[in-house]
Amino acid sequence: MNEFDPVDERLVRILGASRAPAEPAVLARARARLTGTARLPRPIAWLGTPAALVTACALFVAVAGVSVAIVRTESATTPDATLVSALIGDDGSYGLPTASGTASTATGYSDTGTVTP
Amino acid sequence: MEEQLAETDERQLIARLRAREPEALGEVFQRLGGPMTTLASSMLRDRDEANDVVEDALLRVHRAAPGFRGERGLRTWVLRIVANLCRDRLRRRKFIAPTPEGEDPFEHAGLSFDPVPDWDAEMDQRVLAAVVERAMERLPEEQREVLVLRHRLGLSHAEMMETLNVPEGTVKSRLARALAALREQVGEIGI
Repeated sequence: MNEFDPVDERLVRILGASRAPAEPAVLARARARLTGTARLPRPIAWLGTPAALVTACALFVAVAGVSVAIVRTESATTPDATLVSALIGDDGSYGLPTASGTASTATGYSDTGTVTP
Repeated sequence: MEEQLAETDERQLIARLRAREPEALGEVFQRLGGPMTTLASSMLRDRDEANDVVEDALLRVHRAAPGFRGERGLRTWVLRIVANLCRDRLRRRKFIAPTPEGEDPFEHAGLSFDPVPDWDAEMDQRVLAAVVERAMERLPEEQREVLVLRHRLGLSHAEMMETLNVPEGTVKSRLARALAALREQVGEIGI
């Protein structure tokens, strides 16, 4: 029994008459790529694998997590450790003379704190 | 007897592929290079891109071979790899440029036409074949795929199920729709 009507049968026969020949150069290129990959040192070749990508992502997440944890611990132990306090120093002098006379000017004179009317 | 020999032969080839013997890949290409290129050319309609896909498929075969147990059959496994690579390319490409008017659709796709023996029709089969190729270009990817697997590469329904990973009913209905669509397109182009 015929599977198709006459029109379809002709279409199918014509359809089946077309082919694409295999080109030997394709196999040569594939082999060259394989030997090229095989020649790479194993750690370098591993870098090109999906496992390397997963490992890199995992490392990134781990390092980011540890960094956040360290910053949080630091800020908890020194609550007033801000950028401003770090810039002005511990005595809060802003580089100006203080009553204790510890700060000095660039000229070497010190302020006694005495007010002359 | 011949079938048994072929089966043993294929099993041995699969074992050599799994062992990653370098010559085994050459034998795969010798046996299946034609069908692989025909499928890729028919789907992508571009000779160079089809060759790139076949090259990539060979590399995938080599890399995936240790995990291939062979219960599916070498031909369907390899053609499935080619079909998947073609789908990836087509997805990225979004559309297929039709063969420009006046240009040979076979040349454009990298296909060659062997005249059909005992052709009784009055119409020049080469002209009809060119019309069929232009009609194929217009079909959706899914329909083109089943027509090529069935009528160009001669896969059985069971082999198509394995290649496309769909149930038999889907294969049959897809084939019927594809043939109807091809007939319609050929009628539209006019012969």
